[in-house]
Amino acid sequence: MTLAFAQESFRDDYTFKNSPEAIRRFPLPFPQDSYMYSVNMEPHVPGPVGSVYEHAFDIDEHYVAECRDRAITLARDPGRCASLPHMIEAEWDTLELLMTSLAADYPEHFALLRDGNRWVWTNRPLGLRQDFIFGDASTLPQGPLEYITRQVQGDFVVLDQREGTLFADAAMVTSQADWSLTFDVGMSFHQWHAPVPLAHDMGVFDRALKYLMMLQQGRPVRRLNWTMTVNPRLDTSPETYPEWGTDRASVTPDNVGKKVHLRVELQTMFRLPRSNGMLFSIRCYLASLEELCTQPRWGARLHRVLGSLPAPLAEYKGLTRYLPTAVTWLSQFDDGRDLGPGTQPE
Amino acid sequence: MNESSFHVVIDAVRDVASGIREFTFRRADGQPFPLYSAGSHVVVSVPAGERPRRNPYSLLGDPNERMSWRIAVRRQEPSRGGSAWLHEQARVGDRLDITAPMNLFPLISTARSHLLVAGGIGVTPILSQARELARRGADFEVHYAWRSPAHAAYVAELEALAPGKVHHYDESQGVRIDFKTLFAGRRLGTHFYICGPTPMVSAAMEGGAAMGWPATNLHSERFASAEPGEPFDVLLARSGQRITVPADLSLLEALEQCGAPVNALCRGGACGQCETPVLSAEGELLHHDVYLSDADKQAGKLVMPCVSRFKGACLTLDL
Amino acid sequence: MYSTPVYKPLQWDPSGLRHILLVEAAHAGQISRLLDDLPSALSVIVVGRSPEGAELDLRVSVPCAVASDLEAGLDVLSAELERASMGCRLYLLGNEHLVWEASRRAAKAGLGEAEIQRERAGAPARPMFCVHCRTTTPDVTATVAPCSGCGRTLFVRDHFSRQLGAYMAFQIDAEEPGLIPEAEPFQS
Repeated sequence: MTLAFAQESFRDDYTFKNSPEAIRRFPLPFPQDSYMYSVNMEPHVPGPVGSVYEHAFDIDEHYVAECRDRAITLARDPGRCASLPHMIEAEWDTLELLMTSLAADYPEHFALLRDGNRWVWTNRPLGLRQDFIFGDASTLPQGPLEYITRQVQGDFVVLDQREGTLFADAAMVTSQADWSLTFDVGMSFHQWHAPVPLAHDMGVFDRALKYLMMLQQGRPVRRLNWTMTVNPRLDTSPETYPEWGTDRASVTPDNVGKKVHLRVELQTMFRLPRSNGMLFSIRCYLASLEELCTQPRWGARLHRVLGSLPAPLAEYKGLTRYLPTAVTWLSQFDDGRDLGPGTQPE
Repeated sequence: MNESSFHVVIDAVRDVASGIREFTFRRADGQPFPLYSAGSHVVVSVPAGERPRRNPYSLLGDPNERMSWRIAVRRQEPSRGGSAWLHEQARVGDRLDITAPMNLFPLISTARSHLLVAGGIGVTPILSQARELARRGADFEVHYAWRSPAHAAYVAELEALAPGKVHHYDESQGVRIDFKTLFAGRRLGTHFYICGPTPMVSAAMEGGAAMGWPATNLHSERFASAEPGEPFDVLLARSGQRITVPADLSLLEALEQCGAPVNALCRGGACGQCETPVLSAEGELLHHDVYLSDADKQAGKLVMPCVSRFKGACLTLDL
Repeated sequence: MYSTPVYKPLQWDPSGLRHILLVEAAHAGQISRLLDDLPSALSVIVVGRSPEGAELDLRVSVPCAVASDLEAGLDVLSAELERASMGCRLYLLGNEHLVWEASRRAAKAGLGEAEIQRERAGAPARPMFCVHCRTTTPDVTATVAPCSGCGRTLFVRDHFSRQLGAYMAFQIDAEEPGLIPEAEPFQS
């Protein structure tokens, strides 16, 4: 697949935009007219060619720009990547999984040569080549987790399985929807999900955990999560909240279509072989309401889902200030017809 | 890679101790095996008799040996057929089906020290754990108890992996592990792992508790396998099917045979995957699993069909 | 919230072989009910000086170290834990900051959750962690408070980290600068 990597920014002047192809493959998470939490996990098997599900880890036209944005965030705040000492085996597992996947799925961009534990990694879009010894962190410029996740889109949380639950003991988090790695590192599954309203009482996390604990090697799973962001900003962290918090009140009926973005997370979970840990990848897709409404079914669908969103969810996702404006703007795309189930664009 | 099972060919067979036979496999398609974590096992489908037996066996080799896997099988008396077939009938060149590795006996990555105990054939997962701990440079000890030297497998391999850290207990010389002594004076954050016969594991767990160790620091892999028992009748409420579970089939196998929608993974009463709701039980549920809590077992609303059975008139399941 | 700590009155754990009690001097009176039935192999650390603490020192017939302040008390605890073996139980009673600083020392020494009990004492005061400057302010009494590190006015959540021993706090007027709601005192 030929990808033209865009030069664009996810901060300051926000030049980010999606090509028509990127809009069409956007993973809209609304197969129905309303939304509620569920344990919506499914096997992460190869999806349709060209879709975000085709490969284990999706690389798209925003790859180079996202890597650059991550580097900026890390330079400002190195604490966005953390790893507790006992996670080193899981870090190597993660590096191997990501390198082998990218090299296999995007051979025009990445290459991995292995001679025993002497590896050579090539990343053409970023212009990198690294000779290193697998298992010897002194042969890499950063720890294995940081090194490889600086070259992949999305956030990554590496989990340790013990005491009947999963612990978020290592992670690279620079495109989060408002949670703090420094604060959450080391938390158990239920603890880090504590702030999510309603879902705990519904037993969603109990069932999700039970399902994840049985995850087997070679059989990853995936699900979609979503929220909204004003401006195509990746770094919507609590740490930098004073920088982006005021954006929420800056939405007007004139700018809502361009400014308000749907932020969809494609979450994939892989069992890691050596450490018996788990890799949780959070791949972030952004598209403005205006971009999404170029697709015939999506405007009406968005109007209905957002218009019926329960207040606690809207509150938790930080949408309250501008949601009414967005819903009003979306009404122009909704003629009330029966859309039927599914997320297809038309 | 989405492989959940492999066709393998037996490349080598050798007796490693009295009643213990080691099998070396390669993949029939010539591809390398996947990596696995120490303590992992595979479930081997053994073509014994009319229906295949599915038995779990620990992977005891080095995961970095990608072209071959090793398991060791103790001859069970009496055998439902699995181990007997492997000892009497299996030959180099034979083909078997095995599952991908899964791990119900993993090392705890936050442990400050690891205390490993093997009883007899239980040495197989302990061996792979010791190999990994040695590779990591972790603080650990192995205590290996056997019936007699003739029954002791992999002694030299263990000693080579962990020189000076392996302690032997030869029952034929009257030497047994004193668990209270074993658990005393251990540094904070030590984790204990045992694989061996059920009475030994029970004694260890009691010893650990008596020495004040919390349950979260005590780990065991019991090779629970479906024991044969008395036949019993089952009613599947949703489909309306009535079946009789014969003496030599597990409830899980009987359910699978009649097409009931039951999931299974470890087939050894430990992973929880086959948990099935019980609607009514005119009789007594015989729980042999290690998954359900005591409260759940008492309440009688759930059963683990892979290893548990029933005694009485009829068991009604929500299937 | 699920992560918000829940405290329970301390109770001697009969499954333990050795017991360490660390108590804030001002609240030492709160454990007099425990003194009737002391476990063998118990040592006590009293943090701070108070009449209640002095009385405790007299009443118990077991080794009782009195530390002048929290840091000194934590150092005594770390030294005790270094000598301890599996089978040890730790009991903590004091303000929330003390309880969790002691918990962090215990975790560092290798103790797990099953081996630690916590009882909060005194008026509700939370340690808060500022996500912006990463400073922990030890004893905040209401939902809105200034950060002792960067001076921002923060909102204190119920979301708690055991690793940090503090509640999460972020700038309260990040969306509407200058709009600071009224602080609500913590009830527990």
